[in-house]
Amino acid sequence: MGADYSSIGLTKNLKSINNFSDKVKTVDAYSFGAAYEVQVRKLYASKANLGEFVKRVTGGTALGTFNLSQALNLTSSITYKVPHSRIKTFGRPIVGIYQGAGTASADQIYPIRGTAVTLGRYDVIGGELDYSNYNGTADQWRAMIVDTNGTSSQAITFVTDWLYTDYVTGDAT
Amino acid sequence: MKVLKVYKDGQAYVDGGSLSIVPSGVDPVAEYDVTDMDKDDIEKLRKNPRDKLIKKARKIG
Repeated sequence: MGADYSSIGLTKNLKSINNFSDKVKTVDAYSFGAAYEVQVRKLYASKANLGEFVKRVTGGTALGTFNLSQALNLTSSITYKVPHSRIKTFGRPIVGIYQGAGTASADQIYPIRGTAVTLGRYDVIGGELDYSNYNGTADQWRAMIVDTNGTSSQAITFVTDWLYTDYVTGDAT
Repeated sequence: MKVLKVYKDGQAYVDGGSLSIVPSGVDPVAEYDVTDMDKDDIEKLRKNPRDKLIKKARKIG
């Protein structure tokens, strides 16, 4: 049990009851980070958590045929979900184009030809960001496939997933 | 924006969104904004653009 010196203006440690150090509560960096979401334009760090920096999101599949046109436009894009949707997304598409419905490797047209695909049957052009379409935030992959046989009822399956850099800690779609 | 494009013969394709495949160099006969529609409803309309669900979509072209 400590002595009481308050009657003479001192703490139990014999400091003035008005001393500054007893009035300031120190908060360590970890507690501060847990309590507040800090945003800055620049970050200086000696160690960053890069273990989950690159993520994969499943895209989907789309089907088309050449019966209206000898060529099909194929597009895929990725953007952060709300509230991060105004931030530029940087990603890399995982792309496959197949003849017929489905994704059997023998029917793969692009990026490499499967065993069931006739050499020269299809031309795939593009596979880039589109200067006329890029909106400044969504990363994209746009291409065109041509059936050199002309218009036909040949079905085409287009499938993409995306790898993306998650520097805002948000989901992308 | 996700757009349902209806072509001659009643075929429909969904353009925009995260993934799309559409005929190249062919103008659709009608376009509908389906951005806010349910994924399953959009798929139903893609298969049959004459489905009554089309009333939920806004015609844009």
